Amino acid sequence: MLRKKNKTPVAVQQTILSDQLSLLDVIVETCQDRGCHTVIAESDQTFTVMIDRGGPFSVDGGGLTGSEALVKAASLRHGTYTVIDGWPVDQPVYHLGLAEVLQGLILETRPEAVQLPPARGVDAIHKAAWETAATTTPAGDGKEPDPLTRTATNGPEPDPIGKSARKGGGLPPFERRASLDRRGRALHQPPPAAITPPVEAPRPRGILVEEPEPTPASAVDLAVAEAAEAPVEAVEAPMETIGEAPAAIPEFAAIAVTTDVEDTAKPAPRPSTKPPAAASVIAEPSVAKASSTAKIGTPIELSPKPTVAATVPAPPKPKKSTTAVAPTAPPKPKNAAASAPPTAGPKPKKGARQTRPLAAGSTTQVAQRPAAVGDNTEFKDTATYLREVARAAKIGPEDEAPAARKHRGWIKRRVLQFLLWTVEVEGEPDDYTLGQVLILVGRSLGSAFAPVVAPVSGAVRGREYRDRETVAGSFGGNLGARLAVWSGVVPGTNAWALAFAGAGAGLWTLSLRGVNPRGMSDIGLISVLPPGIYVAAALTIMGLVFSLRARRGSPALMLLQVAVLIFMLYGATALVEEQPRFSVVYRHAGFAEYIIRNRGVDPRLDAYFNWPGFFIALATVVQALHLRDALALAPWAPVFFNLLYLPPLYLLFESFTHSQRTRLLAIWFFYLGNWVSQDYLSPQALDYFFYLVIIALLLRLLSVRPAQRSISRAGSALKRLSERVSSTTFATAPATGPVPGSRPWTLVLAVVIVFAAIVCSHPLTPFFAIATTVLLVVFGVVGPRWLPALMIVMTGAWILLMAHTYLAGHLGDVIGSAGSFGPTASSNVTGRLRGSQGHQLVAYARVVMTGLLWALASLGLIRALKARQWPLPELLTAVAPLSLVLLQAYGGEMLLRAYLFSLPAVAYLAAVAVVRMRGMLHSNRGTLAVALLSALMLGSFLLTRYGNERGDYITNGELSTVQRLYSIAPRGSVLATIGGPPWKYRDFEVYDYRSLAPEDFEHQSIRSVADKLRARGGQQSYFLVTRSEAAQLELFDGRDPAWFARLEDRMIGSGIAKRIYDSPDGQILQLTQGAV
Amino acid sequence: VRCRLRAGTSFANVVGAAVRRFFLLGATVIAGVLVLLGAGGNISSLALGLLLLVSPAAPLVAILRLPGAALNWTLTLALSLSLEVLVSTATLYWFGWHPQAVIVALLIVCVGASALQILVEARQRQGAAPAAATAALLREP
Repeated sequence: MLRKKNKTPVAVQQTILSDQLSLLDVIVETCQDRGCHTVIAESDQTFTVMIDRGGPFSVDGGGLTGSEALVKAASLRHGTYTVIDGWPVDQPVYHLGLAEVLQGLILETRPEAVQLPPARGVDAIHKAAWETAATTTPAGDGKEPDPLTRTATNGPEPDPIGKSARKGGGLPPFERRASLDRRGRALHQPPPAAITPPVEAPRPRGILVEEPEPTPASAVDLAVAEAAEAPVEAVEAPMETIGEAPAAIPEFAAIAVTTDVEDTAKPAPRPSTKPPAAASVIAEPSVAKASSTAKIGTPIELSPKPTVAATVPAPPKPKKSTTAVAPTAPPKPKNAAASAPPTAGPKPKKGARQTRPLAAGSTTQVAQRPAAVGDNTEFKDTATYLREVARAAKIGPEDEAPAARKHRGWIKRRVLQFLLWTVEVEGEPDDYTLGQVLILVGRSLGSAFAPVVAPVSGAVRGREYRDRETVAGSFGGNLGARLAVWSGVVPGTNAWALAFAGAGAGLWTLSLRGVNPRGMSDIGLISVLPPGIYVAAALTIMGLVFSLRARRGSPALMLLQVAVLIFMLYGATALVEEQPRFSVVYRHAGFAEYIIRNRGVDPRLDAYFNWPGFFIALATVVQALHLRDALALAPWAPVFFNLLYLPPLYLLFESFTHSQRTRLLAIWFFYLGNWVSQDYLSPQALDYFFYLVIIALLLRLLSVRPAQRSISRAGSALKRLSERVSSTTFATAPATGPVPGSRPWTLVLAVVIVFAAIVCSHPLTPFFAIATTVLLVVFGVVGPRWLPALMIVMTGAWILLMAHTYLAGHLGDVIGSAGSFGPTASSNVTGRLRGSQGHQLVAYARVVMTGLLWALASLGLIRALKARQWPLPELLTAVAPLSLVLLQAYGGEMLLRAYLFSLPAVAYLAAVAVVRMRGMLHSNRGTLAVALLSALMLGSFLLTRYGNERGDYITNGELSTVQRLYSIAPRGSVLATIGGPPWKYRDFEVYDYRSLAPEDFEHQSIRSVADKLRARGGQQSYFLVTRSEAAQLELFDGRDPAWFARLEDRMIGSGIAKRIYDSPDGQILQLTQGAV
Repeated sequence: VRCRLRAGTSFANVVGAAVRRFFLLGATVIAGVLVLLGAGGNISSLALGLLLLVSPAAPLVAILRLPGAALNWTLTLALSLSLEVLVSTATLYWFGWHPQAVIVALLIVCVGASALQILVEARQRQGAAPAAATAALLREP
């Protein structure tokens, strides 16, 4: 973080080239940012420059490729340019030596194009098919890797949790590497040791690969490496690829040598006058041998400096250079050196640097060779350079033989593995000693104090990359590098993200301890939250920002951050309030209690007994856990259910995109936008999980590939849309979606089982699932086509056979409001925008919050369409739930439910809008915008979700009042109230519960209301008043706070009732036995 | 960071497999016994939570060999909870509500699926061609 603070944002703000800004400047600026970028310049001709970790590796445009294209592109001073993240192709073609050319252009020492070896594609190398032709136009359309782009075209995405991308195990090494590279790692990173060819493997002579037992480098070899500095880069570049070439194809190596030699023959523009550092010699056997082998058949005018190697200063650890330096060895014939048998050289001593095959990657080779001033063979950014220097200086993996650091013990290896992951250092536990790992962790965590404790780092960070050698040298070489690494060049963003998340959760929990919910105003919980809550929220958002900006974000860490967010946002009331919130929770607990007592259900008692699946399962859990009642599970139910939503949400977003950041942001937006509060202990909460699972399974596993989609007999409009869908190259196929015909029946069976659980648990959710599935099937996104029909039959069968009792009495209510949008909108929207001023503020905040999210989603949709992508599954998933708004008002809650069911897709499209904004997640300004947006949404969440908390939370006094009522009321009594007290959690069928409206007492006299209650034939009639009911009347109806008190006084004063229980939070009035 | 495990195997796979095969099965059986014996306490609650949330479907999902931990966990949780809801509901409508019967039924599902999983994996290990019935199950999507 600190290192990037002073940097120019990578996302280039100015997109027009001018005399003051050439494309060369843009490329240089982009190179300073580690990572994978593509610079696309539009002028008279189009140039594409692909950059990886501080250097270009592929350039084409203007009919040219490689260095010629780079030279021509660098001179551009008119036109426009775009800098995007990533590369437009999966396996880009490497043009060797571009970094050197670029450096020459910068230093103006090599303005002319250099004839470089032909480009080599990874695929070609993998297949050992050497492409001699220089037709190296990279594939792809030059577009930015898009979050909407699925992995169908790119191969399966490695799984974030279990890293199951490696589970298949069938991928050959190169394919596996390619999949890793798509996630942002450089292709020339060292491959995993597991796929590195063994050192002892026989290799053809003359190939640019180190022999298993290195021969001592001759003075001539060293001279070659010294004099021909420029070719070092050219030689190093193909190392990683050639090293993995099949050994059975010597022709491949021979051609490679020849091509490299052609470049080797060109002397470096600025020969080094300084001897290379000792460590630089250490790695040279491979280079020297390569160079010496390169001399086969190609005369090279060498700089006769055999004494240079002899005058090399002693390395810090001489024992490590014994394998490479043999200064007194006479110069051998070049071809003799090339053809020397592998066993000719002395065996490496114990503790000497292990000479690895070049397949281990050129980066490692370079890391062993800290460049001296004037050594222009490398082109990396400061951080990479310093890290490599630091590694070479003893905190790297190469200072000891791996065998000497073989960690024994499962726990130790796991701990080391975890620590390495935390500080984002690649490698295996065996590559580091415990001390090295601890040093890395300490330095990473100490990076925050860099400005205070290490002013060196500021100087290092402030310099241009081209001066890095000077900077490092001025600070004492390795010592300066160590200081720089200590002070933050090794960024531990993962560790900081974790630290911020943990600190946020801790501070949040501590701050909530002092909250007094009784002091809440009409805007709810936010009115009593202490400042520490907002600091905790800021810390959590900073953790998110760290994760979003991390170059190698850890999916597990991201999900952990989301879990922390869930705990904070959805567990706040469980920490603050005395009893489970929402009076309806008590009724649900009463249903389970009824089932436990009666071992059955009575559909006539309540509508929910027609869909009793959730309550039966709840009763089973309560009984099995020996709980007193289901209320014991209620306080943490929102946290439980929201954690339950996390896997299917991730799976759903995984089917939408392979962008890890987009997934995290979408999940983040989902939880910040879920203010509907349908996650309490209820069938809706569980069935929403089932709904997410069904949609995620359909889109992830039962999706039809775009090329095979079709819509039959769906109307001309749909057909046109279908054609567009089928012809568009949008990547909407999931990573592993099977093609039709090979669809596993087991997965369809799983979907049917889950849907069956929905059908028997909730009356509304099946219709949301059906609506979404129908749209997805009709538009040919998922299959099988008979699935919606089966779902409709299942739902209809349950309603007709099991819920006919409810249907017989409420058929008019069910189908009466179908198609009438007016009453639905009135009850869903306008009916909620009234009440007290505070409540109106909350209601309008909900509208604004919803509108903001939908506006962002619309923006994301527009951006996707502009990018010629058609996010059909996302759009259908967002729109399908809204169709039910026209069918039912659902007690004024249908719009809320529709919003809830469309929220995943809406949150995803909103995340797309943010991610696709130029530089939003890379520049400081963009990061700040994301942080502010998250802060706004988090604040809005606290207001919108907990805005009614004054009427929703239940106190101990209220529950005691209800318990008192149950203790004194005889069985069969009439229990009446206004609003929703925490009752019905027991003896659901024993009492006659009556809920009155305030208007009943306004339109009729109190006496007539009392007479109606007595007329129900109960033994006794009771009238219950609780604190939450009074608050609800005040909030939602805008009534006087003393309204209940006046009503009580009137009832008591008129002799209709007498107060038999009185407490600060509740009163019980018993109606007197007057004349009926 | 990668372990040096067998090619194509990750640390998470190994742990997941061990959990699925042994720990889960053992915990499920223990939970069932505890519940049927009427034992209470936090440990039995934890074991029962495992039984209800994970156990019935975990072996079944393992047989499917689906790619990705997110997919496996999603399906495991969903199928376990669905089975609990469906078995509870079916029990209530057919025989009256008996929580012990529900627990026993879930135990049978878990043990049976675990046995099937072990059989399938044993066949795989022996290199025998999977039977036609399990071929569809083992098909990599």
